[in-house]
Amino acid sequence: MDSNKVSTSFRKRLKLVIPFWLEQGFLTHQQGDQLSEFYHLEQIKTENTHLLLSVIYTIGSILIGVGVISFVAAHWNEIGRPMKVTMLFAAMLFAHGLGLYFWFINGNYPKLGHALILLGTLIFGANIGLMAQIFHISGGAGRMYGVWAIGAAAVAYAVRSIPNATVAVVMSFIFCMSYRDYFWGVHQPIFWYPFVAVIFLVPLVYLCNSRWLLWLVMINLAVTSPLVFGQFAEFTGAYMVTVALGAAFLAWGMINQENPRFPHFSGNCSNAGVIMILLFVYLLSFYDCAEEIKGRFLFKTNIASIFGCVFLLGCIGVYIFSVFRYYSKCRDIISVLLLGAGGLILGAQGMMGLPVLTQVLANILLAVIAANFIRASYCEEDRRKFWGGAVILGAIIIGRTLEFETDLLIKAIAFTGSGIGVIVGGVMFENFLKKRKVLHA
Amino acid sequence: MRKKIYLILAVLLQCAFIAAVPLPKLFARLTGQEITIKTAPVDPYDFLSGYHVILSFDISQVPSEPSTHQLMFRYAENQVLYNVLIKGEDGVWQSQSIHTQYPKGIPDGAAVIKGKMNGWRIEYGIEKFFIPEEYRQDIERDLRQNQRQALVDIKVDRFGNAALLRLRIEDRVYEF
Repeated sequence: MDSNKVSTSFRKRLKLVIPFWLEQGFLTHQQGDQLSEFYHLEQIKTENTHLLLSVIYTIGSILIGVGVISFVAAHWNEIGRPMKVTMLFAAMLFAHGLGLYFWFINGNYPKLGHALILLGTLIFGANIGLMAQIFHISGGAGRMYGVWAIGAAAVAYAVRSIPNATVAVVMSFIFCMSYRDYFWGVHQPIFWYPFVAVIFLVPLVYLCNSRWLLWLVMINLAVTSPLVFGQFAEFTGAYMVTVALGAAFLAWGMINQENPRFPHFSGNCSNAGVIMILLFVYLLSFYDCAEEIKGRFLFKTNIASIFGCVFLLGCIGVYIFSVFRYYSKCRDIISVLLLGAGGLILGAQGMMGLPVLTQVLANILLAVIAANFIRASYCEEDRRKFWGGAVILGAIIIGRTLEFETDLLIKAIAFTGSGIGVIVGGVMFENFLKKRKVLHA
Repeated sequence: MRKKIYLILAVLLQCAFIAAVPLPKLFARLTGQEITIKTAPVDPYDFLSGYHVILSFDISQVPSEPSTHQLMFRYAENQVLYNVLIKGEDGVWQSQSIHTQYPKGIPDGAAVIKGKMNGWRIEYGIEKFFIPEEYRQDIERDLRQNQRQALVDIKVDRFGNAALLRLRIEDRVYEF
């Protein structure tokens, strides 16, 4: 195992126990030194200091950046426009220039240099805001955030900067959401956004090798894609895109698992995929949601629909390709079940238009998934899977209890019974784990 | 070394964006024809650029019945439209006709402004008038008391792009 793949917390604990093991004679001094060297235990203190410095500098930069943006927003009239433009432009170049110097030329303060480059990007946003203010530019404030996102992404690509990439992802998200009408869905032609997000933001995740960015990009896609494409087949579009994107995330997890440089992304992608598909099935377990998509399979014939279909088919295509390619190594067999049943629900819905059937199928599917999670938890002795299954079961019971017009007494019995069932199940599982440990011992 | 060059290129790109964002407005300000239109404002806040007045112009309204329905169906959402404006007797410019292409042979003294269909109205990219925080309450009060007397001066270039110059309420001029 590569020592770099081990978590810092493990290394910290190892550093604490090695002296004890040496004292007890479990390790020789030579073995202790070898372990220290292999896991770079002497560097832990320096790494912590570097991390603390990065956090301090980044917070400082963000505060200064917000201060500069607030100064622009205040529209202080005592300073003339040319002076304001000069000041802000100079501040941006100064921050970038100083960052460049400290990081790459002087090289003594790379963390400070990185933070100053982040500050430069934040002041770039303030400059865009100032231009909008001076020239009274309207027609979608979102465009300004879009320009900010491109500028931040350019810097993130240039220096592989996670903070700049974060600004790019957040600003592009605000850009997309600013075109959303809360009552009528997306009313502006930004159907291209999810494609652009995949093309420009996903490579940043790999370039910066950051799980934080991975989750940020996945959340961005998970929220924006159903909203952007949701209208292409009326409400059904949002459901279809949600399940297709979940499949794409699962495929992404399988592909990462095979990638020697990024296997640590695999679990995150798979988890996101399972969550999205579960969310889709859970929504359809409610009658109102199932009713909402009844018989609405008529696609609108406009460019947004075509892009929506391409996105949907692309996601499903990547998933099918990954399943065939990596099936033997695919741990998430459950995902196949989920997707198959998801398709079944939609198929039944489309052909027959029976919301009750959809609801029943969705509930059965959720129960099967929960049971499968619990079974897997026993086989693999994995507490997380057990609690995952328990949460799904609890969600089914709460959903049905709240949905149906039942007496409060029945609801009380259902909730109390579910709670007792979950606790008893938990205790049984803990006992099972203890017995297993005794057997293994 | 390569990262250094990439960073410099990225910063140059940022500089180019800062210059490019106001370019159409700057062109309209420098070369455009000045006209006055009627408005009715309200005021929200923008995180990036501060307080502003949202302007709703008379020329943004689609023509009244029966052409309202025709316009709604004739022009798609986001369709680019050209509104031919003529000067009224009171000095305020009003809509004469709406076209999907830049109109040919417009009458002398008329101006053409380019907009986009957005819901029930046409937007011209001049709907926001940014105001300093310190004048916010004064302008708010003035607008509340004299809402129907509010006018804005704009400049329109030969392509139909418009740039906002100032807000006028009776004899008071707000220009920032």
